[in-house]
Amino acid sequence: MQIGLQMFTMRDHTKSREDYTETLRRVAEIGFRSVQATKPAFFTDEEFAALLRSFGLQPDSLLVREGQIIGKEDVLRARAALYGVDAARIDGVPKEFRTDADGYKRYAAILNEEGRVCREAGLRLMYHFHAYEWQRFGDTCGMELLVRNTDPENVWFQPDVYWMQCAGVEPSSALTLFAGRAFSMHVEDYAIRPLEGKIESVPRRCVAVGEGNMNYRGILAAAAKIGVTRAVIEQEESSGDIFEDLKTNVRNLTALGCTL
Amino acid sequence: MKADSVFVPTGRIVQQAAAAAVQARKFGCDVLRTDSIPKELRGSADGYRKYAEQLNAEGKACADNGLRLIYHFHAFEWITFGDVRGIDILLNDTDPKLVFFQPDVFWLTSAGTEPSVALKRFAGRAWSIHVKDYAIVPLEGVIESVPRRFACVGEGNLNWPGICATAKEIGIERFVIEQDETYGDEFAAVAKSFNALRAMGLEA
Repeated sequence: MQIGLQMFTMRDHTKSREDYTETLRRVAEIGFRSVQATKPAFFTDEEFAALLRSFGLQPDSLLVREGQIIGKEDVLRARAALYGVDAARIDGVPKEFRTDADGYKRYAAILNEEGRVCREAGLRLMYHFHAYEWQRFGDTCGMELLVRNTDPENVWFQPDVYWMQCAGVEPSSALTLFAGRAFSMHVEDYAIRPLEGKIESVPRRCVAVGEGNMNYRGILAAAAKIGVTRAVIEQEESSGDIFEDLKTNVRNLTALGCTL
Repeated sequence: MKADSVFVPTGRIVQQAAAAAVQARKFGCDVLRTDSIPKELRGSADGYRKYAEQLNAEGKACADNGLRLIYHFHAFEWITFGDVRGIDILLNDTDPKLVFFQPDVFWLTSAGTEPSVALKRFAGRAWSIHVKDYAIVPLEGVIESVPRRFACVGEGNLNWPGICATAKEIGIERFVIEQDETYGDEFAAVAKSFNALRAMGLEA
């Protein structure tokens, strides 16, 4: 299982060309080789691709949004070639589809078509979810509706086990929903910070893998079993020094059998 | 119908154990339940250690009066202090013959654990668990929100087959429905949970 880094983790240190460059240097110095990054406005695609390459960092996917897929195959192919990627990522069920099971099925059809176009452009489209897709509709839920109503050749998923935990699902058993449908996952841990309100409050915070309460041993084993080969760190909150957090993530993930 | 336990707030148990035992006999039970670690002790590992000592004393007062003490936790006790968590200190520093726990699968999930796995930590320390489900409701805020609420057993996302299997493995004898919010008809909500548990093979 390769360790990757979603650059959103470093967002406080990527606000200018200089900051981004320095941050990539430090990320590479820690030993990362795989990043999941979105081109910022202050770089062109050519500059950003060259910058990543200069530090020996391989991007793992392109970010795509509605409007950037259908009819845009040539652009997708060109960007894929420039960055050397074979995957694209998308997230966010639009509000109008979230209302009921039918809405989710209608969105699945759209996602399926987008995935087909991506596939023809040489990209595997992966849908990245949050907690809200796990809303139940009778015996099923939004997430299951998306998985079952999309074609495995067209649409993949990027499981985020932290959001699964937040959704009340047990990641180490529920990951089977994505069997054969996922090659990359997001990882971060779930810890409890000091209580300030009522005893029924849930003072949750997001921490480096291994520093919280999630069952990472079970989760990584389950992920490997379903075909995931990359664990991408996306730590939403910093403990204070995000670069130290990266080292903690790497140390703990390595102890659990992952490699950079 | 039987009451399964009596309740005395922590801090008053040593003084009230004898009276609680009288009440318990009237109810036909031998269990005293309590919660939660006092506010002033919650902020540090030392605080939790002091509370574990207090629980040991309270557990002894219960045992001396023919009662078994159970501590009911929420999510907040799963706070980390370096390498150890509050709940670990309570489990490790209390006498397994004097202090027991009543795990709650909703709070176990809210603490970031997988209940079907985390429950195993309570083998020999619990015979009764609290159950309610954890549901995701329609999103209104940003996509990173966690729009959750309490729910009847079977209407949320908890792994009931896993929870039941582990419960059986560690000797849990009783599933106690405790739904903090029923959002309407409490009787209907409790009936739904009751029937869902029956359908899973549990008996009243």
